[in-house]
Amino acid sequence: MQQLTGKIYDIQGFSVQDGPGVRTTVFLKGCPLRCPWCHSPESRRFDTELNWMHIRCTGLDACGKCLGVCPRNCITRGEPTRGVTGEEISYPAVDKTDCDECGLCAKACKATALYMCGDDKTVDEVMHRIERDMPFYEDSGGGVTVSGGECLSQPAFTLELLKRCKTLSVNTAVDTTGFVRWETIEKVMPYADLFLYDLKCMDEALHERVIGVPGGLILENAVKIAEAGGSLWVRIPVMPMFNDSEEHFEKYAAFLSGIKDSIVMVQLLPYHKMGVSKYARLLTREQVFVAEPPTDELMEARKQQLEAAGLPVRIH
Amino acid sequence: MAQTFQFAPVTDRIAKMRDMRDAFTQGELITINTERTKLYTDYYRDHPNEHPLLKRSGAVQYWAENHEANVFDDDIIVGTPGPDERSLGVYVDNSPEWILGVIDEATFKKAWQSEGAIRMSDEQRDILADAYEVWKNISVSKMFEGAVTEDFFPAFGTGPVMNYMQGRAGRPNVFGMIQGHYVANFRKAVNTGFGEVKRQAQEKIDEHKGKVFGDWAKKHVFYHAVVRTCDAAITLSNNYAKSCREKAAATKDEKRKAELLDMADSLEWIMDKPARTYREGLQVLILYQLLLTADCQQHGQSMGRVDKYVGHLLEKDIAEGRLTMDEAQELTDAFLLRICDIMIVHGMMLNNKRVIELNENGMNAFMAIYMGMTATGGIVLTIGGSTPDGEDDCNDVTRLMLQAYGRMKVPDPTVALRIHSKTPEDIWRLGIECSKLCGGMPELLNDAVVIPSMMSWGFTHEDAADYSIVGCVEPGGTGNEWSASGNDGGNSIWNMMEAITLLINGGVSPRTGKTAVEVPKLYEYESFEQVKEAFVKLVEYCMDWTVSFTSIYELAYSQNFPCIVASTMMEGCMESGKDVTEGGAKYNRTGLTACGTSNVGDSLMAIKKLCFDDKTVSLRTLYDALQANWEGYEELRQTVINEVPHYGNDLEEVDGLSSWALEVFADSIGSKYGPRGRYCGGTFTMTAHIRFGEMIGATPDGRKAGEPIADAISPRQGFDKNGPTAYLRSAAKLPHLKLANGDQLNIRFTPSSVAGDEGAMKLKNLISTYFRLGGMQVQFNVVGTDKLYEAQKDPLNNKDLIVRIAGFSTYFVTLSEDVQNDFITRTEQAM
Repeated sequence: MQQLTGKIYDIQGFSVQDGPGVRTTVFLKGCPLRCPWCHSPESRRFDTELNWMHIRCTGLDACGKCLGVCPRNCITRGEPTRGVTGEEISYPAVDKTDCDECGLCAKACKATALYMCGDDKTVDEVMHRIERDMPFYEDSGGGVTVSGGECLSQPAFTLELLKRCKTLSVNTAVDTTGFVRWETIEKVMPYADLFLYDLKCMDEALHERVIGVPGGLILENAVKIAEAGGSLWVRIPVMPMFNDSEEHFEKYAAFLSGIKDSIVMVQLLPYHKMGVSKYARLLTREQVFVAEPPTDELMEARKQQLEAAGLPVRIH
Repeated sequence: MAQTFQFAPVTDRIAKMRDMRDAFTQGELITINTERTKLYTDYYRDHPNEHPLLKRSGAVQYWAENHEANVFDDDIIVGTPGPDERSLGVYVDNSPEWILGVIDEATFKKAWQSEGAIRMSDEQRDILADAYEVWKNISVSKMFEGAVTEDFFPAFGTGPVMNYMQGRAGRPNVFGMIQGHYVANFRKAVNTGFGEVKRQAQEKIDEHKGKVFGDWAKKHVFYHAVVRTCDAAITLSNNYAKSCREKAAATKDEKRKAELLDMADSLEWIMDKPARTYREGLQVLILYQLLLTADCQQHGQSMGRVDKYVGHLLEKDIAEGRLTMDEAQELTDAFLLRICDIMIVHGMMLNNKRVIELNENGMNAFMAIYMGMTATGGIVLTIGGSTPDGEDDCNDVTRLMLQAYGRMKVPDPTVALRIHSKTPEDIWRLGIECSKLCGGMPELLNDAVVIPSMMSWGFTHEDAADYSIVGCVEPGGTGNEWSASGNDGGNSIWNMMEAITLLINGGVSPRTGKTAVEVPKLYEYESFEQVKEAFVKLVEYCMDWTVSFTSIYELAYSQNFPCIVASTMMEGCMESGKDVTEGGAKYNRTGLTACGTSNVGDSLMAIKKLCFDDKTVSLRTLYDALQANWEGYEELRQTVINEVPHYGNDLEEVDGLSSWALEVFADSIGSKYGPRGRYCGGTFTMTAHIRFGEMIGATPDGRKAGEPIADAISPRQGFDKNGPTAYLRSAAKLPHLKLANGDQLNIRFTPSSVAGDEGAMKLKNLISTYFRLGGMQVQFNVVGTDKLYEAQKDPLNNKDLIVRIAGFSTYFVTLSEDVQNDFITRTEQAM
């Protein structure tokens, strides 16, 4: 029988910004949302995909093993350019138009400049890693966070992983966009000590226009979790020109006040540009939305706005 | 939630004193201290026939009598090694060869009397010229050379055994940091006093008056030397008292006058008798340190558990209303700044060519010397910790010390905070916040590992629980051990990768062409077990010769340069009548540290996996690749880098190989004895990993010739891909209990990941978990890569950025570029 696997693109120990204490965060690949500012674009697609990191490449003249392995001829010799340390170097030119993510080129690349992002891992394999991190949870009130992408888009795997964590009495958090069928959330609720719950936008129309999916379901699910007695750690990415206005935050305040008793924390995450360089690695023409990060003053003002509504708030 | 922890501001006069020690301006305010050079030279010239013990004690007495005991305007704790407030002490005893370059007439003016240079007068030049003549044939180097016989050289120097300083020299040449590395008995200096010790020594002399029979002759001389040393201590203190009185008479400020008179009263009391107040206690620590510094150029003469020595005095002052906590804090601040002023310099650093070059490049020599780290005395303070019953042993002085570092942001003296299961929360917090600001100070030590490891080297439980940190990271006895974990400085650090290099080349050193022991060449091994056997043989060979060489050094040193100032107070010496260099102290280990923990594990792993397990690469191919420095074998090198497991990622097999190699080393060195006692291994690198890397060729871990090896027990630069928890778990597996000479774990965090209350708590949790898993020592830096690049580009605006680089913290901008780059490439944790 084939074992249940999840498509995982990263596991991070000493994850300090994904819930309380020192945590291990398991990142599942694939997400129904398309936030234009997304800082982990490699988490969007559900399949394993080819990535490229030029700084690892030793150059076609020293290696060149990637040339000629692609059955669809996607890889050709690129123009000579300057490398990381200023030396002349020729990188492969990868045209992904015809790529079917077969992975042969990544296999040929010993330097892992071409590499496949997204591993199929069994629950056992992930638990092995978690067990090794367990001593670090003890004093800090930490545990495991299952994140993504959208981890609940791989519901069977996430559920099984959470169950296994609970058999070891490990604290669990589910980091979700909330854009999931209620039945899925209902199933994992008994095994999730906490929901890290993203609320990206309070305006339905704006939500759909910018992120690509309607926001109503997300708000509905938040209320349902609260009503069912779940704990919510709300995360608001503060985006310039999108949700950072005083008016928009009034809507947040009004909505969150309604479910105040279930909220353990509201975390304001200022937009940052760290993810920008990752887009080039994906070798797609996808564009990232780039803006100036919000100022500290603005972050502080928004924090105070929510605090005035009696909510516990932190920045970062 | 992310509150910022605040240290209290310093008082105005502390601020003024602190500013003098600014990374850049300090160069302008610094002088070269040739006072001690002159006094010791004069004494040696005038007393050629004195017994070494009497000569050393006579010289320190002569120094104490003639040292200009200056008191400066804002002083509340007095005492500097030279006449000036900030000066670099130069020594001639180890090797005066460097003087020839300095006194050369043509260049002296350019180097020492041009604009922007640290200045030396013509008179100082004459002092050095004179010193050269007196010391040229009787220096430590010369006396050592006179004891080393020719049969050493097939193995050593020009032979296959490589050591830190020895590599290129091929002949014994003792440079800078000889011996040292111990904690003098400051506790006794503070709480018993030199008067009482003198009385005890005199009693011994009187008991045998006219009956100097049997082996008493040497003891007779020893006790006389102790008496002289005690007189020196009391004289020094009285001379400072005199200066305080003169200064008091000259001032119109009544408040200051009273303060100075009060200081004079104290100075006339202490050293002779036990200290009565907190200030007196701190003052004794400084004066005793000055005496030790005058006695010999030793790096890492550490002060030990300062909070324990003087904690009761503070408590009494506070209870009896003599002192407020604010006043106590100011005294503590002033005390630390006085230690910062105890600076000694390697003579080699003063050779003119280098100084002129620096002047021409707009740098002053101080900055350059600072890079070489020997400008500090290498003094380490130890605070916190537990009692033998496992109860917390912190007191208010522990807190004052941490506050002093945090609010003054000084990179030295280094401070070590002992951690145990009952360390109070506020001490943890102070330690972590202080470390964020002071670049890894305090370093954190795990009592639960250090104490049993010391006991396995024969320490009683009580003495082990009283340990202090010496030098960089080495646990040592407090006032009862001559640990000499620097031994002759040249032989205290060993590159384990040398054994790997020999293992590849059939036991022949590619550096010298000489054979250690014959082993197969890399392509001749038939099994991985055989590879391991060869490694064991080679380690044994290298350790045998290292210990042999050091034993001869110790012999020469003890016969010519007894350390009487340390011996006077050291537990065991009064009882045995023997100097510390002859094994008079209660405990007598000699330390040796191995470098290359991760590279050795990774190298063995690559050989095992590729050539024996998977058989995807032949030994011959790997051998050829190494001979070619990987040229033409890039694919194989990338395979090694990306497909072979690496230490630092919590992978059992490769971590096991690193542990195994360390155990082979620790067991080998731990089975050997020097003239005083048993050897003891550790693993830390200071900055030697860069130099060691330069000295060896390509290695099977994918390293190219000349590239640095990894520092201490860190994974190789950029190879820890599974984050800090995996790194710490790997490190925790190493045989820490066997590494009683200390190990060192560097870890760097981005500021945002450890900010505020929560960040501090998470950091504490990470460290305490590492300790629970069996880790021994941690030092962390909180600084982002972007900040380091910025500091490289704009040093002036980043002059206060302190980083912990090895066993010491320093201003980042004063480091040389290769050391800066090495630091930057260490993986930054927790984005």
